[in-house]
Amino acid sequence: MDRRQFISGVGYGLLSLGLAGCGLNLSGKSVNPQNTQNTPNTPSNQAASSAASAYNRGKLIIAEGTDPNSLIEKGFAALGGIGALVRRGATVVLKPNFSVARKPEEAATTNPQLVAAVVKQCLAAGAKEVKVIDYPFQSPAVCLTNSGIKEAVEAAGGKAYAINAQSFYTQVDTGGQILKTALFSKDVLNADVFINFPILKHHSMTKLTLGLKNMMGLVWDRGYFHRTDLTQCIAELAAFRKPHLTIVDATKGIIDNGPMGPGTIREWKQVIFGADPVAVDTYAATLFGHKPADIGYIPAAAQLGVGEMDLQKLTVVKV
Amino acid sequence: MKFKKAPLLRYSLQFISLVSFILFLANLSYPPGLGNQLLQWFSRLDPWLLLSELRWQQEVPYWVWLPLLTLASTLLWGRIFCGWLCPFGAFLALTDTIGRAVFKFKMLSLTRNKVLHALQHMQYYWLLFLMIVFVLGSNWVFFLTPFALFSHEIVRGLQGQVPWMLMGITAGTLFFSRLWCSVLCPTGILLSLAAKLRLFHYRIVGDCVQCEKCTRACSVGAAPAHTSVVKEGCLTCGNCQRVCPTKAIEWQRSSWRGRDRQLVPADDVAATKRKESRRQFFKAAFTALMAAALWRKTVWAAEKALRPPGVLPEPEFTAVCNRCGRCIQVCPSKALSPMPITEGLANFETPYIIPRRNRCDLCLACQKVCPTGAIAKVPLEKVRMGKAVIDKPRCIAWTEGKQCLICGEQCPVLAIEGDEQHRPIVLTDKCVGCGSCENVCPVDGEAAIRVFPS
Ligand code: SF4
Repeated sequence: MDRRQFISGVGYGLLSLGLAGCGLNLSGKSVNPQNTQNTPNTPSNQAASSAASAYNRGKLIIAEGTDPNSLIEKGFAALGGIGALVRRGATVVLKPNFSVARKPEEAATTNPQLVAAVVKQCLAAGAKEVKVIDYPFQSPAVCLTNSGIKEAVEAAGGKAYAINAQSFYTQVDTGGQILKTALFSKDVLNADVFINFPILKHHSMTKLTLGLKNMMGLVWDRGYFHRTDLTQCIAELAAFRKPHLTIVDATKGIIDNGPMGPGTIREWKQVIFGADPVAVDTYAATLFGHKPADIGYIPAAAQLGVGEMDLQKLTVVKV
Repeated sequence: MKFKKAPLLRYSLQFISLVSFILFLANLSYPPGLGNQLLQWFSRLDPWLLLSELRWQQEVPYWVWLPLLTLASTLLWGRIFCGWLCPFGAFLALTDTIGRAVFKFKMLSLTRNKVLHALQHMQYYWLLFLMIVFVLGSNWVFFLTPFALFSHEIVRGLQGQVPWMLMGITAGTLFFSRLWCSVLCPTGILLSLAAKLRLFHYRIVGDCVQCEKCTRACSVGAAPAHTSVVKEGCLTCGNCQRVCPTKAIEWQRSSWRGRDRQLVPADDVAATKRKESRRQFFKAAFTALMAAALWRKTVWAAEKALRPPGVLPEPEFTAVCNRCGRCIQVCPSKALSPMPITEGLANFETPYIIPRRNRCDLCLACQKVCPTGAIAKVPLEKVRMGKAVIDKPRCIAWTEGKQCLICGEQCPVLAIEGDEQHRPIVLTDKCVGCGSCENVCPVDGEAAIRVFPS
C-alpha cells in the first residue's frame, strides 16, 4: 500500500466512522462528531476531502504554560497522540508565520521553539520529511534568520524555506464565488499532513491574524485578495483547503501595530490545538478579547461550512 | 633551489587570492560573516581607498596600515602587490598565460611588446588626469581600481548581467598581455610611481647577448634589455631572470645613483631627455586642461536616486563609493542594483533602489559590507532614504473604498496609518523611504504610493 492510498484509506475510514467531518457543514448544524455528515455538494469538496483530519473536530486542546517542548507534547497527547496524524514515511508541511523580519521576542512571528518542537514530534513519529514554509513579506533570508525559524527548525531536523518564487505554486480551482482559481502552494498540495501554525497577533486590516488568515501565505497573488474582498477571499481559500491541524501560538503576541510590528506585547501563555480551523480561530479571537463575529473572515468561513464558530458546541480541554 | 621556490610561492598566493576573492564575494549573504571581514581587509590594501578617505572624510581611518603596507612593500620590492597578491592581477596573469599559449606566433608577440612599449609612457598622463578629476571632486576613478573593478564585474556576472568591462579587459589581455596592469589600472600606476624609489629590483649584471628573450617574456613591458634595470612597472615575477640564457639577470639592491642606463650611450640619453621633457610638459599641460574641462561633466548626475539606507549625502556618496558592488551582492531582497553608465560616469555602478521592483528590508547588511563607508553605519532610527507620497486618485482605498491598506500592513516602521475608513495616510516623520509600500501596492502599473529620494 503506498502512502497516498494509506492516507486516503485512513481518511475514508475515519469518515465512515463519523469521526471526521469535511465538506460543507451548514451553519447551525452541529459538528458533534456523532452527527457529522459528509455532504458532497460544494465545489470545494473534492479538494477539502483530501484534508480530512485524524483528530476529533469537536475538540479544542488548550495547552497552558511556557516551556515550548512540554506545551507541544501536552497538546498532542491530549489530541490523541501525534501518531494518529503523522504516519511513518509521511511528508509533513508546517506553515508558521515568519512573514516579517522580527525577532522571536518581538512576538510578531510564530515562536521558533514551538515550531521546532512540532518538527521533532513529527520526525519522532516517523515522518519522512518536515518542511516549514511561508511566503514572507520581506526577504526570505532576513525573515528566516531574524525569526529564528531557520536555525531552530534545522537543529530539529526539518527544512525551513520561503516559498517566494512562482515555481513553488501551481494553479488550482479553488471553486469560490470570487476566488475561483489561485496559484496555491505545491508543497501543501503534495503533503500528507498539513499543519497550519499561526501566531495570535493584531492585524490592522482584519483585526486579527489567525489560522484562516495565515493561509494567505500559501497563495502567490495576495494582491488579488486586497483588490477584491479580503474577508471573503480568506474564507473561500479556507473552504478550498483545510489544514489537518491548526496550532495557534498564543504564548504571546502583539496587540497593536500588526501584522508588521513592533507592537505592544501581551502574553497568554497558551497554545491552541484543533482540527477545525474555524473553531480554533473562534477560541483565539475570544482569548484576544474580540467577538469572533467581528473578525470578518471567521463568520464568512463558518458560512461556507469550513467549521464551527459556536464554542458551546465544542469541547474545550485545557491541559 | 631559490628560483623554484619563489614562483611556487607566487602562484600559490595568486591562486589563493583569486579563488578566495571570488568565493567570498559570491557567498556574501545575509547576515554577512567572516568572508565579508576578509574582503574588507583585502580591498583596503588599495592606496586609492586611503586617498579617498583622506580627501572625503578628512580623517585617517583605523585601517590606514593596510594601504601603507602595500606602499611599504612597493618601496622595497616594487609592484610586488600587483604581481603576487592582487586577485585581479592574478586573473589577468592567468588570462595572459592562456593568451600566450594559444596565440604562439612570433608576430603577435612582437606586436604585444610594441604596443606595450608604445603605450607605456601614457601611464603618468593618465594618472595625472585621474588625480585632477579626483582632487576636483569626482571619484568615478574608483570603478577602475582593481578590487572594485573585479568585484563589480563579478557581481554583475552573478546577478545575470553582462560583465562587459571584464570581457573587454580579458580580450585585451589575451592579445596585449597585462596592458591593463601596466598602463590603465589606477592603483597599478600609482604603485609604479612609488616603485621608482624601490630598494630591490632585477638588473642585468652578467653578459647580455641582446637576445630579447626577457622582453618577450615580460607581460608588462618592463624587461631590463636596453636599460640594464627593469622598469618601475615590473611586477617582480622573475620571468626575465628565468628565461635569460646567460643567467645575466639578478635580483639586487638598488644603487640609488646613476649607472642605470649604461647600455645606451650617455649623450644620446641627454639629447632625447631634453626633447622629451619639453614634449612631456605640453602633454601634461594638455592632460590637466582636459581633466579640468571634463570633470564637471563627470560629476553630472542624471536624476536623484533612491540610495541604500545610511548613505552619505549624494555628492559625497558618489565620491566615496568605490563601486565594488558588494552591497548589491549581499542585499537579500535584491533591492540594490548598479546604475547603468547612461546615468553619467559619476553614477556608474553606484547602488540604487527601484522600489517597484524590489524593496529595502532595512536589514542593513549593505552597511556591514561597504568597505569605503559610503554606506555609513547609521542605525535604523536615523535612516532616511526618502519619503512616501500617496497618489490618492490612484489608490483603491481612497477612490473605491477597498479594504486594502496593504501598504500600511507591510510598512516596517509603522509610518502608514489607516484613517477610520482604512484609507492610508503617511506619517512623514516616521517614513524612512524603504519602498515597501510602493513595492506591495496592488494597483496595476505604477504604484499609488511612491517613494521619492530625500
Ligand atoms: S556603496 Fe560601498 S559596498 Fe556598495 S558599491 Fe559602493 S563601496 Fe561597494
